[in-house]
Amino acid sequence: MTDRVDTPIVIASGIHKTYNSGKGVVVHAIRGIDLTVERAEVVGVMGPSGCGKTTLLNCLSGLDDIDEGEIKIGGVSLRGMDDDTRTDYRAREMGFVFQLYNLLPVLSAVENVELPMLVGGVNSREARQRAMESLDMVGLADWAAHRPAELSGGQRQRVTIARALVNDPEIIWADEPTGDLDSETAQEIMELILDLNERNRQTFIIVTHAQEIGDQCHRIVRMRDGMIEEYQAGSE
Amino acid sequence: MEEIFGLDTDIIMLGTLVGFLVIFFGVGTLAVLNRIVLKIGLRNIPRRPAQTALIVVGLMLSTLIISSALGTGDTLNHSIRSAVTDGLGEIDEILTANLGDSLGLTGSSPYFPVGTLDTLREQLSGYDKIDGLLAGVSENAPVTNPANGESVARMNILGTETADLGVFGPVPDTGGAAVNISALTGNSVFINEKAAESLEASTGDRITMFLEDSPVELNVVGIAADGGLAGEDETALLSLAQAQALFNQPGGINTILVSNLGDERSGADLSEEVTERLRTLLTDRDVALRIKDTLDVPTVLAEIRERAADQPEAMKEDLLDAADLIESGSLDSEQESRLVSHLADDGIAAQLLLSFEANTDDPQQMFAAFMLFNELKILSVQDIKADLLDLANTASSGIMSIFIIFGLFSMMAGVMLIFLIFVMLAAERKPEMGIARAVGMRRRHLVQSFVYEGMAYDLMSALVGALLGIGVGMAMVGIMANIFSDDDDGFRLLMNYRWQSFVISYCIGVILTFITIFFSAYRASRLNIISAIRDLPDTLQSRVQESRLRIIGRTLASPFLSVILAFRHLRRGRVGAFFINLLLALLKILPPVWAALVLWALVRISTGALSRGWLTFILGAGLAGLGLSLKQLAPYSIGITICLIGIGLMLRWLFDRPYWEARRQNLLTAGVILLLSAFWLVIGIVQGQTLTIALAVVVGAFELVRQAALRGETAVADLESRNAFTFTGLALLLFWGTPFGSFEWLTPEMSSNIEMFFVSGLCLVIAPVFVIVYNADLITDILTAIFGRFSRIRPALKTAIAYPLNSRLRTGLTLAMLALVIFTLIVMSSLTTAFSAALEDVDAVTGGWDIVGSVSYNNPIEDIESELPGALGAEIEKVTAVGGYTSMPVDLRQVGAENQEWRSYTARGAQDSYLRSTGHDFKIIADGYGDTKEEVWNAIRTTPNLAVMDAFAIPSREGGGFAIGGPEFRVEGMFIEDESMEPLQIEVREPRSGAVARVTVIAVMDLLSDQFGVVMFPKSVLDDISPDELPVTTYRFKLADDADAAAIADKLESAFAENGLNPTVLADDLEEQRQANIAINRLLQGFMASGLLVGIAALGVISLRSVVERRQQIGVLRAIGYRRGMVLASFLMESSFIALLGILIGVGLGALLSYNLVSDIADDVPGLSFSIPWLQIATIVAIAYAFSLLTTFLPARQASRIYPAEALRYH
Repeated sequence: MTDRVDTPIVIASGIHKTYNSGKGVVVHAIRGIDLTVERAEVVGVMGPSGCGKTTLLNCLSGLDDIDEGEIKIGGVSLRGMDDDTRTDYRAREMGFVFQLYNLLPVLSAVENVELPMLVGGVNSREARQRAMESLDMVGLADWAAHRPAELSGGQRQRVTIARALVNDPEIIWADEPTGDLDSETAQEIMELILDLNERNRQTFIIVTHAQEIGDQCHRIVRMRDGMIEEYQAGSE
Repeated sequence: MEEIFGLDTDIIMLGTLVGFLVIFFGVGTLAVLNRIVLKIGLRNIPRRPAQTALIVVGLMLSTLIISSALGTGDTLNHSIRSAVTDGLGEIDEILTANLGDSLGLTGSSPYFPVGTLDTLREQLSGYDKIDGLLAGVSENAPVTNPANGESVARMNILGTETADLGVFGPVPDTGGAAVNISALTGNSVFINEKAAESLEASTGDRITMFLEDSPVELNVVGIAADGGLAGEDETALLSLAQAQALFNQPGGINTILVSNLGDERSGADLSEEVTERLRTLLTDRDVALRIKDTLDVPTVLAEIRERAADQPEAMKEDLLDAADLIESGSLDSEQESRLVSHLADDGIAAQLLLSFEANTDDPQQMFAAFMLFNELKILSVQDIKADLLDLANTASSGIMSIFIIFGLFSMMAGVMLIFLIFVMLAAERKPEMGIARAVGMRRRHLVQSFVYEGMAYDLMSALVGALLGIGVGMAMVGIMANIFSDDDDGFRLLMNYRWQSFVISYCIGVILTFITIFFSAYRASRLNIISAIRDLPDTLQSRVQESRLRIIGRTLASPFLSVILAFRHLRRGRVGAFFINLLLALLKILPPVWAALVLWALVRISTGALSRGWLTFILGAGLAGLGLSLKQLAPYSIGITICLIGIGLMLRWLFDRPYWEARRQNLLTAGVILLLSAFWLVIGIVQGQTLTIALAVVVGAFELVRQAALRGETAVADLESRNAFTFTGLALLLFWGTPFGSFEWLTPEMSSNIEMFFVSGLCLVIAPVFVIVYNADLITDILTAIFGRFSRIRPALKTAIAYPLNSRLRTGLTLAMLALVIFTLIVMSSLTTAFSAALEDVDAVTGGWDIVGSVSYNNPIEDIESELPGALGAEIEKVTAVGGYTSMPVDLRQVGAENQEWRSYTARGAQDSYLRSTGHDFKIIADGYGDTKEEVWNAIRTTPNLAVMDAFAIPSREGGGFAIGGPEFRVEGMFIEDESMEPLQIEVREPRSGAVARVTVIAVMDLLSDQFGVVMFPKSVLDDISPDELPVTTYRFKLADDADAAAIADKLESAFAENGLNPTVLADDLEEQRQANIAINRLLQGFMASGLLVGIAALGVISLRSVVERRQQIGVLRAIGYRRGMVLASFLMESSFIALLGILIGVGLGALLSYNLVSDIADDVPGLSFSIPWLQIATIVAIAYAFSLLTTFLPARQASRIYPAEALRYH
């Protein structure tokens, strides 16, 4: 993990994003958003379907390009990076959790978790050890050899979280992490996220449409039509 | 071609066309009945043009192979037929007085009075099937051109009637104007173009013809165009009177040429009828009646009738009729004609003579009977054109069969590809099929929608394949033409492709693809609706829900049910549906369609028993038993293979029980496999076979490693299948990888043929594929351990291996396809290398001789040894030995053998000088005649009536392979694979005189020897039975090591030009032959390599599909830090992994089978040894790998360019 300093971890100013939805229709998905996220903050991004929540998360995390504006993560501008540099930066500094778990079905839980470390050049033995620790952290050490198809939805999402945490990133992006889960399991996952945030001081930015999830975040960013409608205080 | 695999092309065409029409209209009718399903099926085609293109390429391959093989056959057939008709022109039959010398090896035909032709013309008056008869003198002699020293050793000389040539004329000159043979007088002569070219002579030149030592000067007055009377070989044309004078035969002729009604092509159609008519006319009736009297003995007649019982139907009837006629007291003229016709038939005559011989002990009586049959024919009728046209059919059909059989591997790979494509299409559409089933679509509708889509691809691809096949066939013929381009023989390959061939290949292509599509569609339709909708791993519904009785009952009554349905539609006023159902009922009532439906119903109701293994095992055991009782290796081996698969399936079923937890399963599997390896190990040690020992050790060691790896795993997915099919794979590997003959002590002698190459290839490839796909994690561990240290490629490698090993079916199929094709290529190139290396041992082939040359029968060399010094001058010192022999067609039969018919063969009577110096070695030497070749040759020289035989007359235990034509005589009671032999008593009959000599064969020559198709003994044996004095017809020369063979051959040719000596350097000849062999093998390899297209297309299809399937996962990988290059590398590594694994299996197994094959053949062929052609293998591997990378590069690049956010959005 990089040295923690007290500057905001995400600084986004004036970002715009348009994309072509086919047949010449241009969708203006993000319309001039300014956003700052402090370190160790848990931020919920909420809003109706199609308001640009996921696009905002993709742009902030460097998964997608922006048309205008500036994004700095940990003080480093993503715009100036070429694809490879940005990919390496992502691998080092960020973790991702998606709604559909997005585990590789052909790899076991522990292999899925260790993959980001192998990408980062960690040797196999150490990678396996840290992956097991990470799985242990999410309570799945006993399920390490199982493939995703053999796990329940909640277990899969825990594996995804373990994968996101394994490189000890400063910031974790979660796109609807509880969207595919029942309310009880969703609550368990949220508690896990808050616990990790508490223990590791990691930043979480969570896109969600569930108010009860949003309510547990430190702060809620509410969006509408590609713009930030309002900031709400959360549980903190 | 008129026949394929012995069946008439028209019948095959009709059969395949009916099959095609049944499928086409059957599917068409169903489509019209349910257009929505048709629409669902067809809408998929334009969805992905690149995928559609790949599918069409994949499906067309089988059609292409069939089409090109048929095209090659057509071209060869047409070319040979054209050469025959161009060469013979209007000549359909030739009448000569000579018997048993159709090869013309011994001098010219005997002469008969020219008046015979007039008599024949009278007898044929009113017979309209013959439109021309021409008397002639046909001879040959050496000719030289003194102006330039060029010579022709055997120039054909044809003297014909000077009057009207009738249908045979006019003979055109090179400018197209008719040459006037009747104007020839004195020493004028026309020569044909070929002769003019060989002699470098033109009009006005003088040439010298050597007739029995007296040279005759002739003036060339014109050059006749080749073909027809002028012939295709070097020919001189004279008037009949000139020829009679030249050969001192006033009033005599020795040939009558016959032309049948019709032109030079259609005339041959009447050959059978005309030949029979001529044979009846040209038979001496008085002699026939004398034969009748000779054979009219009760015991002989009883023997004839007994023999008739064993003959084919037509022959049997004729023989019984002949016996009745012989027995009748007096014959009316019709009966007499019938008897004459029977006696004139060579086959019947042989049976009658054998029957007579069986009832007489007196050799003189037998000789008299033989001579009577010899005198029976006034003239012998040779239906030369029909014979040669038959040969054209046999040769072209043989070549086509070779291409088809060698193409089977690629066709098999093609079928696998079709299956794979549809498995993948089904996987792609699984969720939508699940939804379709959920909203009420029946399973058969899913099958139909796949079949409609498949049929559309099928109809397109078969058309493309059949058309491309024409091109590929032409290209192959073009290459063959280059290989055999020999200006001297004048044979030209003329491109030809019959429309029947196109129809056959198109229909077979459509049928083959349809069957595969149907099975894949059926498999795809057995989806679990919920798993399909949620896109979870396959859980096929194997159990048939419907009762078995109901399925069979419905199928049996299917035509009637369609009729009932038709009338139901009619009652509701749906006239269209009424007619369609009625049509369907009519279709179903066709016996083949009905039988196919019943068969399919049987397959459906037995799938449970088959998948549990016991029925599979019983079917396999039945087939193996059948193979044992028929003593056929193919059904036996396939049966054992099915049994082993059955055992695997039973194990899987057994392991599925709760009692069989992991530890027990592993223990049992390991125990069985280790026991099996131990058994093989013992066999290997007992038989001293290193390969068997190695195989047993490898299999045992693999199982131990596997078990060790399994112990370390906490949870293993699908352990039952894994254990069961690992057993099957390893057992198959042991069974098929073991050297031939290892289990001869367990089974009776089995016969096999070329089909075993295909069967063993297929089964050998299946074995490791089973093992690999079920033990994938072992490979992952090994590869990760090897490449894991390279941190950049490690994650890419991990996903690259994990994906293919997770999809067993598609990876297994692709591996099998690639391995199968590579396997065949490796076997072909290993065998080519081994055989061409064996031919490099020139002395083993030639017996140490350096130059061979034949001389004119009419003008032999009196005493070569005394003439050589004068001929060669100082070079005589370089000649270390010279020896000669006379070749002559004879009839042979083996004393004491079951078959007592005389069979034609070639005898070589050798001079002592030849026997003293020849170095040909022997495959088998009879007990008591020494151990070395020198001892055998010495025995032949010193003990009267000893002989040696070539290997072609000795049958092989492994069947004949492809024998087109060849000598007829076959020895009984021994095989070429035998280590020792008893001396064989053989009777040799001179066909003209009927005199018989008995010789004792004491050795069989090596398979490599260039003395093939001959029995060889001292010349004195031939002299004793020949009516004339026999000159030496062939000389061989041995030279010192430092001699210039080519220069000496040139000197010999010019010195003995008047004797027609045409020397060739044996080593050069052999090298040409070797190069031609290599080139032909390369062509076959190229043809078989077309299967690589299949493997490459399969990798392309998989890659395209993978990019679509894993789009979202690619997004995740990019999100967690995979660079673009890593995604690209992961895809390339994935296809490399499959390609290299497939290539590795193919190379390994190819080398294994080649080693077994070469070791097996090496016992019979000296100098044959196994060596791996590394360069060729490297080339094949490099090409295969490069192309597979190329096909996957585009999809892989596409995958790497996917933007992560975009990929993550994809569902």
